[in-house]
Amino acid sequence: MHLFHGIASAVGGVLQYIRANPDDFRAKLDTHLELSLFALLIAFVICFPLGVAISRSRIASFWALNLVGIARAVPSIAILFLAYPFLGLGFRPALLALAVLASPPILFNTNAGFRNVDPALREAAYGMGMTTAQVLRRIELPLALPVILAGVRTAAVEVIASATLATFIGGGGLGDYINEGLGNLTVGQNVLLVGVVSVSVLTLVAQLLLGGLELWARRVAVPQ
Amino acid sequence: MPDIRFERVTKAYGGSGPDTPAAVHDVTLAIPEGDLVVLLGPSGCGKTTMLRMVNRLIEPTSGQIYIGEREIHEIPATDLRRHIGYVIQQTGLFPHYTVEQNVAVVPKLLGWPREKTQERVQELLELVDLPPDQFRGRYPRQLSGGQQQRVGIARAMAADPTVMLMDEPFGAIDAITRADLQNELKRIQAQVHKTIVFVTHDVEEALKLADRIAVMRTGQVVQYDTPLVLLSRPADEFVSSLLGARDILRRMSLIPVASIMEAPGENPSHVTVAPDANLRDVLSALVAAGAQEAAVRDGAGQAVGRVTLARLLADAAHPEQLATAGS
Repeated sequence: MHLFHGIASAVGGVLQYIRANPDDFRAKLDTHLELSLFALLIAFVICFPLGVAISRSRIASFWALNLVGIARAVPSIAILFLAYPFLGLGFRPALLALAVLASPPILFNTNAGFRNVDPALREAAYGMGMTTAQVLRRIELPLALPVILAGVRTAAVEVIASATLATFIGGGGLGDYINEGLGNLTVGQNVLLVGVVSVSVLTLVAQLLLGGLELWARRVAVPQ
Repeated sequence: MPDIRFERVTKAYGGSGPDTPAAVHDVTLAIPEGDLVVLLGPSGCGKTTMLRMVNRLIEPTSGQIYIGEREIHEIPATDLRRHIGYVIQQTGLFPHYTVEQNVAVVPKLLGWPREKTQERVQELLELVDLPPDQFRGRYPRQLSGGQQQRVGIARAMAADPTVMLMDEPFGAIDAITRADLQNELKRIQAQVHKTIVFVTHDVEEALKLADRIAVMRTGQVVQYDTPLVLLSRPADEFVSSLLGARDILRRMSLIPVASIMEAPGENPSHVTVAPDANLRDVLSALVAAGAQEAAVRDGAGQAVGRVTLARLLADAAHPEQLATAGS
């Protein structure tokens, strides 16, 4: 009961703050969403074709996955600061760092999705006279899609959560609230909570939306 | 309807491993149009490699393959494949397509109008004995193994190809259903007369289905002839033991009664066999009745010939003479 009460009053405080400063909240939310969406888009545009390509060669996928796996050990905040010497401060280095962060799950899952397609289906498809593009679009992609979307969902959750760190290199977003709140814990507790709660809600919404999309793709790939 | 000819076809592989297909050495083979020819042999003999070279899923290292007058490499691979039916053991049915969509794959690739495709699907599902109204909208997962392979056969025949390639199509199916499907294929083939190349390592299946069998071993065709000749005059010990040529009953089951039938006598026997029976049927009828003689009667019950046990046994013991009579 105590915990529930605590959460309720925190959410109440957060809503109150948002109502009092709507424009400010809106601007930070927009930046946060822009950072997250563009980062995902960039990662997808690069990693989807790359994932398809490496899935066709056992050697390529072995090396690519291991290299990316090692690179993954670098913490996201370090990636943010690694981008700093090249791109300076602000939105762009934050975007780059988040795109890098979003890449591994999309790459891994695209590779896995395509590899999981039964080779007999590929043989039948080519044997009936489909072109490579037709096999890809009509057979491989629909069957691999649920796994690919699961990767996108993982990436989205990571990116939305990590976009909070963009504030440390002047990238903006909802992390600004957390940064500000941490700077002055006595009066800033509500401000801190605005950041924490809104990022959590955003992550949850992304989970649900992409989870729904994944479910739909699974129904298409495996009817009934 | 065209024939298929392999002319000095070789497929060599650089490496070797569990995934490397078997090689083929300098094979020349003519598959007459409208015949069902079985490529038979143990695994690794090159039979599947032979088959897959016909639709260019594997390209030969040297030699030519003709379908009718045309060398297949003159034709773009996708065009060639759309005009060759292809059935594989794992069925390869697309799980996200309904039965109808699966059967319609090649017509769609060929740009057939929708109505023509729908009619064709209807016709084919009837041909393979799957009531269209019941099965059209189902997904492969909702079908039994035997039903799936019926769809596989319908799909391969969709654009009415003159040539069909079947790679162990019934290999993964239980024995009873397999026998059903074999009978079904015989029935369909009697109706459509495609030129069919059929790969199997199942000797019974080969004997049952083939007009001619090419026995393969280590990338070469050891003997190529009708089932009866293979059983009565195997080229060597390998063919003999592979086919079980010493099994007299097996051989008898391939000889039609008409080949040893004599003119009907004065008092036809009460033991009756049909004109399309084989010697094995006759023997079991005689043994069951304890009789010395059987009458061959047509559908109307009219005696058209007689077979004596003595003649039957004499001929079964000397199959060399029968091979010519029977074929």
